[in-house]
Amino acid sequence: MSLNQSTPNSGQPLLKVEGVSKYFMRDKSRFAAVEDVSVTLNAGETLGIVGESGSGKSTLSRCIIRLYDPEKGRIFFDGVDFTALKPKALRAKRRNIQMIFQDPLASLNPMMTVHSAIEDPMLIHNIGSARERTKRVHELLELVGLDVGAANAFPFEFSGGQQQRIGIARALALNPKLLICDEAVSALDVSIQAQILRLLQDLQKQLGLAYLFISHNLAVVEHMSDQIAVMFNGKVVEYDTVEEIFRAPKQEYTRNLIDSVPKIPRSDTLRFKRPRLNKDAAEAK
Amino acid sequence: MNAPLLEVTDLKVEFKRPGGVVHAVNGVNFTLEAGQSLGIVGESGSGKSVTMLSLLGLIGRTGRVVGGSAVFNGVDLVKMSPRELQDVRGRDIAVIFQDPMTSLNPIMKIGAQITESMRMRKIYSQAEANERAIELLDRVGIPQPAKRLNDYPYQFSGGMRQRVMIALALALKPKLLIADEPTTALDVTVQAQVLDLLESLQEETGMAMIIITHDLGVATNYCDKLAVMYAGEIVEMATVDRLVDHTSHPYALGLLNSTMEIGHGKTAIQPIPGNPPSALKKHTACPFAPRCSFKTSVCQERKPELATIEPNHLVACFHADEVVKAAQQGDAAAAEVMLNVAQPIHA
Repeated sequence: MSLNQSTPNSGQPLLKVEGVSKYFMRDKSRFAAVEDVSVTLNAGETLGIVGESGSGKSTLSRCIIRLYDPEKGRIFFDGVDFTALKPKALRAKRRNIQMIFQDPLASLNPMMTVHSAIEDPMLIHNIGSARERTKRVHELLELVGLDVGAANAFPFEFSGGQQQRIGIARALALNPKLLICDEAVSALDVSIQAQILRLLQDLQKQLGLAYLFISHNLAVVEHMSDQIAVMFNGKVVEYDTVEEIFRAPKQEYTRNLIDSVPKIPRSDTLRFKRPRLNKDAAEAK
Repeated sequence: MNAPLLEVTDLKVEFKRPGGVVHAVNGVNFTLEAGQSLGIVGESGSGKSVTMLSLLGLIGRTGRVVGGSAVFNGVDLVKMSPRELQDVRGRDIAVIFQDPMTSLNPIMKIGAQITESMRMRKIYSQAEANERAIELLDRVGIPQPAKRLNDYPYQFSGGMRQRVMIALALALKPKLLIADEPTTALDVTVQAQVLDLLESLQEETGMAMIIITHDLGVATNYCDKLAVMYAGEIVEMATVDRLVDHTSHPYALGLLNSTMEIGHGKTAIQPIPGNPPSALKKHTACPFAPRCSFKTSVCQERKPELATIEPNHLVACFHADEVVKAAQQGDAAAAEVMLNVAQPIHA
């Protein structure tokens, strides 16, 4: 939070998406993968995007980094209109947004050592000497909880959770302000999921990162987010603070997403909850 | 009393690898009654899938059952010849896997895949088999089943493919359905639909079910009994109520804390630190000790046995009493968090 105030652009959001639409052709007709989406994200905070497969979550994130050019709307990042940038200016500016993906192994080059994978973004942007870059690679490995010795190994030698850590280290190499996590833990075991989510929470606190956190699992999104946008058929159907979304979901669809998450049937929790409900009921009588 | 449907005793499975012998399953014991559902829970590499697949001869050439027995319906599966097992698979015991796209044949119409087992065993004529396939597809919730018999797997969505897999598995009315991570590849909304379907099918047919999963949220909602596996062994086994309210193994507690639930807000997640041990060495001490916050010197000297602490509750931990206490305090705190709006993580 304190990092928020120290950013020069405090007061204006880090990311502002205004009325963005993206269309694709399907069966010879145009359909909206993303339609009229407006969301904002402050520095150091997390915006959760939740919805089922095909709801447009990933398309939206690809519009934000302009892997897709949206047909309508504007995207402001750090005060700059991203949608108006020319390719060269875009490349320079885009280093402030990095992504991590669902399948950590598929997103790492199998022929590159961990060291070169993490160093690559710095090479592309001509940063530092070889020695400085190596130092930075080691710093990053430590930051994500990996051994410095991991640098010389290849991605396949690691478990899924460790591969995702490598992906995170690479994403952090250029000191981005925004990290887009697209189903970043969906392919991982629950126990590994918890480790990676905790790492992301700690990194946010430590580095003041903002996250755009995309997932189909509302419980995961809830643990990570300040604000949540619920997407359905390309549209944002509900957009609010975490507290409000869970206290009083306005859409049947959101309710359904909440109910889909399995709840552990703890009798203690129920015992804790029930007296209050019963008490209210008793008073009502 | 009737004998249980499946009784697994001291099952040991090994794999030969270039780097040495992998001890995947190290003496597993459990029983399953007819109509009961058992959840086998653990992380990747804990031996949960291998335990079940080894019983059906589905662990490839490098894997071998090196000890123990698995008596199903009065016969030991471990001693069966491949031919005898072939007859058990599909008819008495059916399996559905995590990824329906890779477990269905991509170049075969789904009608032909569902009727294959029926035709192979000559139980039904082609016409009867088709009738039955339509009936099954209808039952698992596929719209216009008669029309869809002629479709290929790629024409179905992930959730629908898993429904097709379920129809295929149920074709010969098995007594036991093994579901190996049946919903891990699916969205939570579709996951709930598929699990609800499995539950109602189980009630309808009276078959027993074993759900293999890494997700305690899934296991606690759809099973009667749970076995938590770590490093090739069962470390805690109990009815769902017992396991949730009297969690006695630190690993089971860690898994519970790692499970994402609704109602916590932006709170700090408490994962289990560290990584599971290598399966290349045999354990002489508690395999969980290096990651355990309850460990004392005894944990590093001896291996705790799986012992009964209550009827229907077994645990392999020297400090089970302390774990229960910590778990219950944690639960009370969790309940408090769920009631009030959660503490923000960076307050």
